[in-house]
Amino acid sequence: MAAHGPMLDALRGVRWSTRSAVAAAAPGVHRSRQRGTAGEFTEYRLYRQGDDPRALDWKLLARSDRAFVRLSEERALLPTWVVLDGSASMAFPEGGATMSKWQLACALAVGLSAVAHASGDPVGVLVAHGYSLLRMPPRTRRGTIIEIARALDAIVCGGDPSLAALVAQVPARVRCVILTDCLGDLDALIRQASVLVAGGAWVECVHVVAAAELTLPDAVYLARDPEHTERAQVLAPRAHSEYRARFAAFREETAQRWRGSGAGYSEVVTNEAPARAVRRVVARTGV
Amino acid sequence: MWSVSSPWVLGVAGLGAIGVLALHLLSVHRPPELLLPTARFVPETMARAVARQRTPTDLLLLLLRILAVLAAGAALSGLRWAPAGAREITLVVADRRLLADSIALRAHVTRSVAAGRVTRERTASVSDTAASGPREIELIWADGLQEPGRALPLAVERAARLMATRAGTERFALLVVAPASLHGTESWQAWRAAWPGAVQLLPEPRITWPDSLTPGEGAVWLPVRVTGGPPTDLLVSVFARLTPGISADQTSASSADTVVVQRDTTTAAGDIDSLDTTEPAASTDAGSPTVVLVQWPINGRPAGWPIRDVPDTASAVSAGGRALIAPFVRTVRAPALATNERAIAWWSDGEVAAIERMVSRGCVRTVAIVVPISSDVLLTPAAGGVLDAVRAPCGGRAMSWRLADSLVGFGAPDALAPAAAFRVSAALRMSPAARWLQPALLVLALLALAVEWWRRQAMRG
Repeated sequence: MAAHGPMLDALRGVRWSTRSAVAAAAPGVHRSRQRGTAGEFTEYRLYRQGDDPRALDWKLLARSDRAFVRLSEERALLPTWVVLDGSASMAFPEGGATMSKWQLACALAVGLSAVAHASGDPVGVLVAHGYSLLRMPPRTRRGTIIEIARALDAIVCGGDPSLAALVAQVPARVRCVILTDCLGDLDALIRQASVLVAGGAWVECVHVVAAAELTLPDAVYLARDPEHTERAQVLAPRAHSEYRARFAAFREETAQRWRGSGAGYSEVVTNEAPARAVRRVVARTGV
Repeated sequence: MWSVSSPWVLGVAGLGAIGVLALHLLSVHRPPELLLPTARFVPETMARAVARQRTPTDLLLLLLRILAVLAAGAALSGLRWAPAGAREITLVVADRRLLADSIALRAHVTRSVAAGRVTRERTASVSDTAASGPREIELIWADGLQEPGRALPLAVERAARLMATRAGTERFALLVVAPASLHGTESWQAWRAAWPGAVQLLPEPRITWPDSLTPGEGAVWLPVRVTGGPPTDLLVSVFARLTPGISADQTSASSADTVVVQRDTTTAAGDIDSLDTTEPAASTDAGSPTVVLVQWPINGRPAGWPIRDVPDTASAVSAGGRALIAPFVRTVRAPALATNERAIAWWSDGEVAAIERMVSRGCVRTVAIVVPISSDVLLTPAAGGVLDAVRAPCGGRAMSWRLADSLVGFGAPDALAPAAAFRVSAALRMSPAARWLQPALLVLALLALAVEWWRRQAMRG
C-alpha cells in the first residue's frame, strides 16, 4: 500500500463521474435516470391516480385548481468492478528495472478504485490468476482501497486463465474496467464485454503494454511465450522491424474491436506514470 | 612394446578426434531464451545459430568424445602390446643328442665365435632364451640333424612364433650346429628356400654317432621283401620295380643282407622281440648278415607309437633329402627317441615320421606313413627319399659333411632374414598378456560414450 501512496496523493480530488445518467440505484452522486422527489426540483406533472399525495404541490392546486406533482432529479450510485488479468504474460518483464505489466495493472486498479471510492461508489475487484480466482464484491466502507491493494500484492501471476469467464460474473448496469494485455482469450473477452455493454454497463478496456515489448533487445534470443512455452521463435535484430509492425497492427486492430463492441479502450505503457494513466482513463470515460 | 596391426584405422580415429575438436570450435548452439509474451509476432526464422569459438566451451565433453573415438580406433586397429625384446634374434639349431651336453655346446659355440668361424656380430652369447640387449639367442633342439634340412622348417616355425610374441623383432639370423656326417643334402636344398636369409653352419663339438651308423661314403641298397600285406599291396610292386635298378657291385658287399617290410603288425611284433637284444656294435658278428626289419603297418600305427587324440593331416613327408608332397593322415605321434634310435623321415612340420632303432643283428625301422593300397603316390620320383630311407642299410647312407657354398649361401652371406618375411597366424598373433587389451579399449570407448550421454542429459536438465 505504501508503494501506491504517491499515486493516491496525486489522484486526490479526482472524481469519476459518468457522462450519462445511470440506472436507478441506491442514492449516490451520479445523475440517475429515475425521477423522484428529491430536493432539486425539475418539473411538474399532472397527478395520476396512484401517485403519492404527499408529492402534490398544494399551493399550485390552490391557485389553479389543478393537481400537479413536483418532480425532481435523482442521484444514484454506480458500482465499479475492476477486472484484472493475472495470466503469466502479465508478469513480463520479470526482475527488470522497469515496472512489469502486472505491477502497472495493480497500480491502475488501486488508483481507479480510489477515484471511484472517492466518488462514493462501491468498488469491487475480480482477478483471475493461475488456477484460482480473487473476488472482492463492491464496497463503499472505509479501508476498501487498502484491502484491495493488499489482496493484489499477494497475487502471483501464472497460467492462462479465461478472462471472459470472469467478466461474465460482472452484473449489468455497473462500471467495469478490464486491465489486461489482450494476449489471452481476446475474442471471447470482447464478445462477453459486448454482452455486458448491451446490458447497460460501462465497460472500459485498459490495454497494458510493456515497454520491453515495444523495444526489443539487440542480441539474438530464443523468444518463448510464457503462456505457451512450446512455442519458440528466434528473435534476431533483423526481425525487429517486422515484429514492431505486426505488434502495432495487432494493437490497432484490438482497439478497433473494443470500440466496435461499445466498450472504451485505452492503451497504457509501463513506462507511463500510473497516476497520469489513471487521470487519462478517468478523463476519457468521465465527464 | 606397442604395435598396431592396422595403422590406417588408428589414423582414421585420429582424424575423427581432430574433427570432434573442430566441431567443438565451430559449434551450432541455441541462443539464450527470452520470455516474451508477444513472441507470436516474431517472424519465423531458423531456430539455431552457428558460431565460431576460439576455445571449446565444454572441455569435459570434448575430452570424453575424443577418448571414445581414440579408444574405439585403437581397439579396431588391433593395438597390442608385447614385451620388449631384441631387434635381432639369432636362432641356433642343434641336434637333440647334444641336449645333455648343452654346456659343452655353449662352449663350442663360444669358441667358434671367438675363432671367427661364425660371424661375430650375430652371436654374442648362447643361452636357451636369453635376451642380451639388442640381440637375442634362441636355441632350438632338433631330432636327426643328419638331415640338415630338418633345421630349416623348425627355424621358420620358431621365427613365426617369436614374431607373434615379440613385435619389435626386425631380423633373424640362423646358425645350424650340424653333425659331422650327413645322410644327404637333398632335404637342405628342398627346404633352403623356406629361410629368407643366409644360414651359418657350425660343426658339432664332437661326434657321438656310433661307428655302425656311419658306414662312410657311398650308398648300398638292399633287396626288399614285403610280407604280411595283401596281394595288391602297392609296396610289393614299388620295391619290385626298384630292385632291378640296383647294380650288382652295390649289392655284393653284403649280399645276404635284406630288408623285410612287414605290413602286418601282429606278425611284426614277434620278430621285433626276437631281434631287439643288446647294443649293436658290441654284439654284432662281423661275418653274419645284417637284418633290416621294417615295420610299416597298413593302418599307419606301428607298435609303441602313441595314438593321437585327434588325427590330423600333414602335407608332406621328407626323407632321404626329398620331400613327398601329398595329404597324409596322421593317427599316431612319434615316441621320444632313445639313444640307439634315430629319425629317418619327418613330416612337413618337423615331426618324426619314421624311426630306425639299432638292435644286435641289425636294425628295426618303424614307419608311420599311411599310404592307401591303391594309391600311386609312392610311384612318383619324389617318393624315392622315403623308399631309399626304408631300404638303406642300417645306419643309413652317410656322407662326409662339408661347408659347401651351395649348402650355405642364399643371397648375400651376411644377409639376415627380415622379420616381415614370417607370416604370423591369427592364433599366434595375440599373446595371452595382450588379449585383454582390445576388449578393454572397447569397454573404455563404450564407457566414455555413456558418460558423454549422461553429461549431455545433465546439461539439458
